Amino acid sequence: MATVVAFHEVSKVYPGGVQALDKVSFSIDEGEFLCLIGPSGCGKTTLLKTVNRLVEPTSGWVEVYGKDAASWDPVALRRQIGYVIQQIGLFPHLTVGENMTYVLRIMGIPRHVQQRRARELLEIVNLDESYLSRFPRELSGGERQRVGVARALAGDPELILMDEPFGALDQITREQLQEELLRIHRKLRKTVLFVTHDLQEAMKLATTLGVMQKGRMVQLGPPYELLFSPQDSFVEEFLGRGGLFQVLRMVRIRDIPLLELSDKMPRVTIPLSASLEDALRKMLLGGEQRVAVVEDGTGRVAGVLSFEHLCRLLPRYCAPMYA
Amino acid sequence: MAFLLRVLLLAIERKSLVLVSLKEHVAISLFACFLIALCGIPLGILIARFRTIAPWVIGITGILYTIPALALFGFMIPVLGIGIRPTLFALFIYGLLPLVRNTYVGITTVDPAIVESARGMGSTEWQLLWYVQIPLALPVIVAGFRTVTVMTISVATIAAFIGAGGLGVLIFRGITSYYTELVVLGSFLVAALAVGVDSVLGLVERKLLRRVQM
Ligand SMILES: Nc1ncnc2c1ncn2[C@@H]1O[C@H](COP(=O)(O)OP(=O)(O)OP(=O)(O)O)[C@@H](O)[C@H]1O
Ligand SMILES: [Mg+2]
Repeated sequence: MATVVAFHEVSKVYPGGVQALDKVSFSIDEGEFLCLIGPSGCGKTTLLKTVNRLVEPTSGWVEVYGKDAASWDPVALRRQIGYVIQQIGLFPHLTVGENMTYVLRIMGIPRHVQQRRARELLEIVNLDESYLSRFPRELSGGERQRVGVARALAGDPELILMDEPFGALDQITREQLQEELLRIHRKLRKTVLFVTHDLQEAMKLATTLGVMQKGRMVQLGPPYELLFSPQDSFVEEFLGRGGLFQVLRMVRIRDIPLLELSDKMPRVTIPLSASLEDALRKMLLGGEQRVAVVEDGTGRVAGVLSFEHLCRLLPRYCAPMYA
Repeated sequence: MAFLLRVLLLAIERKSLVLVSLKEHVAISLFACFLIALCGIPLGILIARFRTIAPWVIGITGILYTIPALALFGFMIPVLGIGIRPTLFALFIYGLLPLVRNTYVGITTVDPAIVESARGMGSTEWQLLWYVQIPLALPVIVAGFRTVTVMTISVATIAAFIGAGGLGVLIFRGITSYYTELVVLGSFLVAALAVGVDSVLGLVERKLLRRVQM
């Protein structure tokens, strides 16, 4: 698999002496969805901006698309990287259509091509054509952020940088947009570097999760790996309860191997489409070690899930989710 | 009341003088504003693009702005003589600062998030200016232009004192002949002109403001 971005001992000291990055090294492969998470001020935004050269590293270097970023013309480099920020930064004087195709406009691509692309983009982010001629002030927060995402996709870049894109949205809209983003990622197979504060969001979106602290990359790997084998107490506490429950919520019972119904039929049943969190809740509230899993609709017993089994195999259950 | 009636009668009686003066006044102001816009806006854009020279340019235009009118004429008349040229020069000197400053401030205070996303998408510095910063700065630039027009219209009154005509002629003649009604008529017309132009530009400004608001 091709490497899209590689950080080589990247450090950044801002004028004034703040060390925002401290020898960060890792790489992002094609198609990966890498979430960066960490406390406020740990250098996530700074790291993201070294990729499109809005920030120049003090030492070390960043490799983008196989070339040292410093040897790229910054304008050419940025046109090949999608960029979404928390404040969205839509242009208030341009219509939704013009906003989305801004990058094509500055590249001098003909108008009719821009217009065709604008329609495609609206479809990708699930907005209908009536939005084309609207202005950003006429949109809701969620719709604005959709346009922000569409705008980053306009030039069909291989890599997309997103800095807390859903931070300012309410919980429901945020979850909806996360689903959309997952769908877009699966469909278009873009490489995404995504910064977030929100652990649930990271567990949900990431194929790879990076935990940062004070300018360093503390641990990087698939989310379940960080969850089940944290490198130190910082990662453990950071992922803490929220991380585990988010994972339990995301693993469907249908995706894991079940036990045969051998002896007595358990008292409690649960449908195949339920999540591990649902199963655990049933066990705890029902005072049962075992639950019977039944097919949705028919009610036929598909197998049994036991608490003991869950305890032993949870990490293995979680792995396929991030495959 | 009787006084106002006398002013009105005077306006009717001296219709041709009033109209000629008004026309001259409008022409001088219009031309001066045109010159100021022609230099002030590009200058403001230029110093927003090359920020290091901004304090210099604003400093120099600021010094020009504070020269008292009387002193300015003292310098100018020996060089430019009297008539329309020194008048335009004086109006230009006074009008430059507000427009340069507003253009500069308007461009440099565009929402940083908008600027960052435009730059992050790969705009060149000039594209950033033309496509994003200048359109968003327009209301502020127009506000500066409003200040300039009002100021120009009122300062243009002094044109009469150096022989360039305009509504100042009515005031000048009124003063020298102790004809108060004439002074009031002249002043009223200057004020009306300024207020009229100001409110039209105010409408434009509000309209532009609505366009650039989120
Ligand atoms: N332009 C700058 N000049 C000086 N210091 C800066 C600058 N930008 C960021 N910093 C400092 O660098 C450190 C890292 O900032 P950064 O924005 O990368 O953090 P972050 O992880 O994105 O935080 P948050 O989660 O709050 O967005 C902070 O201490 C911040 O104060
Ligand atoms: Mg940040």
